[in-house]
Amino acid sequence: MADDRVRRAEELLEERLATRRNGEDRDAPGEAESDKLGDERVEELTRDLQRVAADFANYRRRNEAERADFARFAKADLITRLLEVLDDYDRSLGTVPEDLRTQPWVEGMWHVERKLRDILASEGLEPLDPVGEAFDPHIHEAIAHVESDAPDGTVVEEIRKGYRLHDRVIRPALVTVAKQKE
Amino acid sequence: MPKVIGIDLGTTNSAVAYMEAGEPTIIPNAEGGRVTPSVVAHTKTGERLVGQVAKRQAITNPENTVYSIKRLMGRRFTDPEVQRTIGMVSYKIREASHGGVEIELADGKKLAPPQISAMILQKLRTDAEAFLGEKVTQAVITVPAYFDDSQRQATKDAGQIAGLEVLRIINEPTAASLAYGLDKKKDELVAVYDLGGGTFDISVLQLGEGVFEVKATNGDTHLGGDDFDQRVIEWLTEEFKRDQGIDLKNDRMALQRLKEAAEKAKIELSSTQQTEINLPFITADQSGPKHMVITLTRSKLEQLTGELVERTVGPVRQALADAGVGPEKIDEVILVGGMTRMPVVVETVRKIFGKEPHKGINPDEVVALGAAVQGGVLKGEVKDVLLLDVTPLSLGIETLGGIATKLIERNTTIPTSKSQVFTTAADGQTQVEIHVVQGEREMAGDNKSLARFILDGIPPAPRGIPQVEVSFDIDANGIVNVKARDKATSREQHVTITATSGLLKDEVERLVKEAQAHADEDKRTRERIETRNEADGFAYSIEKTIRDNADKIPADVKTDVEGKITAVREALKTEDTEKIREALNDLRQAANKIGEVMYQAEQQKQQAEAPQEGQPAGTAAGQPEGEKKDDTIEGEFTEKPS
Repeated sequence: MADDRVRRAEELLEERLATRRNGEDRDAPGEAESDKLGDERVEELTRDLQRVAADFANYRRRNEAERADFARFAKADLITRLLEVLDDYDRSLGTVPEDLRTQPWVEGMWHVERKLRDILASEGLEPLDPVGEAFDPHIHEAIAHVESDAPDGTVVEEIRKGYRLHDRVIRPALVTVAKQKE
Repeated sequence: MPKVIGIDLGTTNSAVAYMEAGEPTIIPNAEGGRVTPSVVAHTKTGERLVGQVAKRQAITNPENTVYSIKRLMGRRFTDPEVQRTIGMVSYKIREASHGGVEIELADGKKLAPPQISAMILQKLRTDAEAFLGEKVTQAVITVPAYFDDSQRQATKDAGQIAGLEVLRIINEPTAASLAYGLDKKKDELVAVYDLGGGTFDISVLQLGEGVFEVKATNGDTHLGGDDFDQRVIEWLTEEFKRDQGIDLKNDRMALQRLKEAAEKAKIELSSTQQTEINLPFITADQSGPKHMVITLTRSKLEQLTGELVERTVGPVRQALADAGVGPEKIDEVILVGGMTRMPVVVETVRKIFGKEPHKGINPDEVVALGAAVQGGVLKGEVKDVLLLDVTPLSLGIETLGGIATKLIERNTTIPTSKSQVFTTAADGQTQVEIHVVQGEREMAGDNKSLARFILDGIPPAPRGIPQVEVSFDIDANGIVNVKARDKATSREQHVTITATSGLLKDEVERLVKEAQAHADEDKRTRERIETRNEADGFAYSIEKTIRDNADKIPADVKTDVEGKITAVREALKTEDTEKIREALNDLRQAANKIGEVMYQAEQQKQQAEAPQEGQPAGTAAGQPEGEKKDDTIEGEFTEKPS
């Protein structure tokens, strides 16, 4: 229906232009005055129509782009919320005491974690690996600036993982950044 | 024609909007955010960063990361607000020549506040251009109502530096009022309560002839959402210390998690009564890991932040006193700023003014949206010729049993058109009557009758076969053209109705209210008639099946089904919907047998012909006709005695 409206706007435009051309051909004396007024009105309306038609064309283009994006990132919101759970796994399973490591029960928890990560990876989720890279605020968020032997401005430590979903960073990595020793 | 953008240039966050088809709409930034942090940074490599990205690197680059620049706009160095800001920020603020203010970056480069603001505006403009796909050169920018001439001029300068022609600087409370369409009212007193990320403003405006005059303003330049979050963080750390004996105040990572959790909890408690703050492995000591699991209720949050909300009351009272009016004299109250989502804030405002404040528009976006509205008005975009009208009431035709079948729903933007295919209700029916009705009620008789006309010359055929296309067309002036065309013969009839625009606004409202009031009753009536139509149609189609397959149906099945058809016909003579429905269900059960018998016969025939391919006994069938696969919809014309 929206397409119809644009088509109709375009038809009207053409119609008006045609009428105008006819008017110019006719050019009868006495009608000149009202023709001039009419012309102005036609021009004004033509502009309005062009604007509406253009607005709509733009709207449609944007809408299509948004829809394409939406299809791809519809899950991003939920996945972003699930990142908290991955963080908790990082904190818990990353610090399992030595004597518990070989216990089958703890091993089972690692399998559970891996399953969740595999599912999310198959949806396009990919962790960033910032340590040693130059700090880049587009994908990293600095939480501390610390003196270090590492080159100035590089990422020293990853405090919380950052993630990419397809090619978009859905959460920057929380990092500490190296500062030259004074 | 180039677009005008409306910009809310805020202390902590900025937003930009434009008019899209007469509606103000927020333009998201390149990162996808609807607001952009008002933060600018210069990196060591000479790169300029604006917004979220600048914020993320702030800690590594404190001297070159500039925020809260709005606090310095157009002020003298000696201004108390400037002195206070110096103590708050990590970048250097210096006295410029002529007593003004400038920012000195680490490399010694000096920038005036409008230059910093211009960098924010420049990003908003670039992102808007990318979003709109066209150049943007004109803008309306908002400022607090208390901004003086030099602060306004500084803001205007910032726009110019960013390459924008600033069509107008308008007050933030005025923009909020415009977003709510209050300019269309006359002679009112409006109070705008704006509690944002870092500042609180209250403004009292007098509206007259579409112009807003500021009667009084007040506020607290250092009160906002961050203070609320801080209260929650403090409470959480104290609770944790009492339970676990560990102080989290010096643990950066823990504090980061607490800050995020506190903000999330605060937001959740605007819609729920309690929430759980669940931060496992928040820290560890010799005995092992420690977890924070604390329930925060809304009432606890209100207790923690009550004093902050209370601090807004004084300025409100003062503003009212300065305006020389009592709270009861205020006609409209508007809420602006993210913190006004908190129920306790709404309640506080309601108590002060004794009336329900306006909400509904996102309070973080309302100012930018209003600026866009102003931009639209200045460009003459909000013009009568382009104001698209809507149909105030639904339009449709009467179908079998007196049902009003809507073709065009109310509030559809016009011009528009819609067509639908209908069929006949009786065998051999050669004409249909098109009864055009307007209104929201389910039954045609309860709606307003607009016109009637007859399309005749339909070739005689069993009911349900002819296809009559009915089209409605409404032009921009609200003139309705209704056309009916028989697809087989292409015969057509039409009627033009011009009087629909004659409905007064009150009348429309009355009709809509009436429809709401009768909604249940109308639905029951409609169901009753639909059941009748369904029963009648089903009985008809089964009769036809029996007629067409007389030789294939065993006598006992036939007698049984015919008995049930008679029962349906008897039931239809009454007004008892339940009875009709029961009779219809009985008939359905019985009619299933016809299908079964016919399939079995077909199958035996097949088996006889090809015994190797035995098919499972089919029990399907049962509902012949019913839904057809073509575009004929169920719903038939009133039978016209001819």
